[in-house]
Amino acid sequence: SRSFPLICSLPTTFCVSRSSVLGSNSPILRFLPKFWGSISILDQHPPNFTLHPNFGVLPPHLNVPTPKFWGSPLIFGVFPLFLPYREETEIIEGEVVEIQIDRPATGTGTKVGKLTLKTTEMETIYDLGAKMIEALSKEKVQAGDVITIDKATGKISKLGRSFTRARDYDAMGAQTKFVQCPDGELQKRREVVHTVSLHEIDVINSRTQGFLALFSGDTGEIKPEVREQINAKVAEWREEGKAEVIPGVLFIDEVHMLDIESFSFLNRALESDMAPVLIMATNRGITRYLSTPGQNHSLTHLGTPKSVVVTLFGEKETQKVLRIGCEEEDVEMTEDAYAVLTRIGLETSLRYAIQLITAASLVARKRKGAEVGVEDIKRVYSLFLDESRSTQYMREYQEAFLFNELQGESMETP
Amino acid sequence: MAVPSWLERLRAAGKTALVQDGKRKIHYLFEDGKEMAEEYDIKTGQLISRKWQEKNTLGGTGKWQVEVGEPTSPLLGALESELITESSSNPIFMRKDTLSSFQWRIRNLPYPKEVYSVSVEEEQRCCVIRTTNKKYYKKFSIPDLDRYHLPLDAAALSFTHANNTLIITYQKPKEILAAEEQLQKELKKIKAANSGDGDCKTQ
Repeated sequence: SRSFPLICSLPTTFCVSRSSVLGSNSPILRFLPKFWGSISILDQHPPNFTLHPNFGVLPPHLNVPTPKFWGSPLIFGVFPLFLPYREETEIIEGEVVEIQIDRPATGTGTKVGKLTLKTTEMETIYDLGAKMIEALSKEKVQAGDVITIDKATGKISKLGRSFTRARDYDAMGAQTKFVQCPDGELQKRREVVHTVSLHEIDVINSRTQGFLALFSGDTGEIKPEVREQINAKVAEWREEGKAEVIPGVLFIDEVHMLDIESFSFLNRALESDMAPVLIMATNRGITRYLSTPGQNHSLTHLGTPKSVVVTLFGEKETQKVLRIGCEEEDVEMTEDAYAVLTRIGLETSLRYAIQLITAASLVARKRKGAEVGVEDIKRVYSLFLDESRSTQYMREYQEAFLFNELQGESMETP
Repeated sequence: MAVPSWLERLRAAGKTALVQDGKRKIHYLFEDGKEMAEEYDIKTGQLISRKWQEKNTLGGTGKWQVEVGEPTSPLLGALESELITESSSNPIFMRKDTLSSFQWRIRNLPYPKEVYSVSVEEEQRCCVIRTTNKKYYKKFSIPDLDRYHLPLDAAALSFTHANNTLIITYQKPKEILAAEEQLQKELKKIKAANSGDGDCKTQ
């Protein structure tokens, strides 16, 4: 079976959304004690990386225009020293009376919408922007829900359904929670604890437009003077007890995309006493640096003494991941089929096995089966080739393809 | 008293005055970094607007908070217009004082007068507007009374309704009237920095 010389490894494409892997029942996060604080996720899929919003970290979608921008400056930017601070923000809390979204007749263009919210005392109509409409439909907000909206960030949270709507349906999901319609004013000021990274404070202070720069992606250069000032200020806050610094967890996905400078930086930064817990994921054991092609890198110079190697995905783990995958896709599968799929996952690749889930469920549905059986897995296994079979196929028939005369250097794959 | 009184704080603040468009504009910079801007009508000495701004925790400057006067038309940033804004058909709440009273106007309230009730909440130091048809509800405080540490008096509060506008009036107590008169005298003494039109002169 495959073993990875890195701290850990995950399939990079996991069913529909990767959040299921990084979600609460993820095999990775099981290893992390709760008190480690915020988790930020640095996704190396070019040209964007994202700090994962699921973990309450502000999501600055920084566009990375050119490959030369990858690497140390970027990591330096997101190296998370989280600094919770208290601030009053304006929130809107109320029961949804009506939600109305107009799509333009042409089918393209921005949607406009109206949202009517009420409390026991009042009601107000709000105009919705495109992002808010998207968020509302993602949360499946409908009339009768009690929601809160953070006015500054647009974050929506559903508190439950209003008691007055309890008799709308006879059947209710187990998770349906009934709450009282809020009273008083719709807009309230509430003290919330934010966590920000030092980078975010730098950005807020380095530009006149401040906070918005985080979202527009154009952060520009942060001057060393600003950084020094912020460092001094943060040190002051820590002494006064106004803020505390939580190192947090930095998760770097596709770590092999980083260049040699980034690794040197990480190596240095990990020695700082405020360094976060670093988790790296890759699907490559030994590969070449992007920026310096001559040299192999295997993360070994990050130093095995500094890191703990977690070998994931033995047979048990593979099956568990597959089960989570089936759950995500709402696929029922027999135990035999699980066993076969696990075998496939171990012998080919986990990603291939995960991708077979959907295909197999479609096959099962076509034969009007209630759950996916071994024969469905066999069928899709014969339909879709995995990497090694595909390579073999190419070798066998290479004369038949175009450019067969080119004797280029073949890519090494792990 | 440990806390300096409002008048003392005003005296201690750095003040800049400017006469423009028939208004005397005064900018206060307090010791704690808060900023306040006031506009007075030159002829009547009437307070037209008062705004506040303070630095937020992270060092950026926030928006101006309007205490008295027309609410600034929300200049929507790229972010806000994408998110959520109150519809323009909603009631608009603003404070517009007269010389003898504090006054609030709520426009876009089409319901008849019987619907509204305005009361004073002593413990929370605020006034509450309620509607029997549950369309509007608003709690507001009177910062001027808080600054002078004066109690709220239900008898001083009254309201009328006309032209889709609810007007709430609170008679200024005599302590406030005296303090404002004194303040006006002192403000007159500040030399206006620039009485011109404020634009940069071209050469």
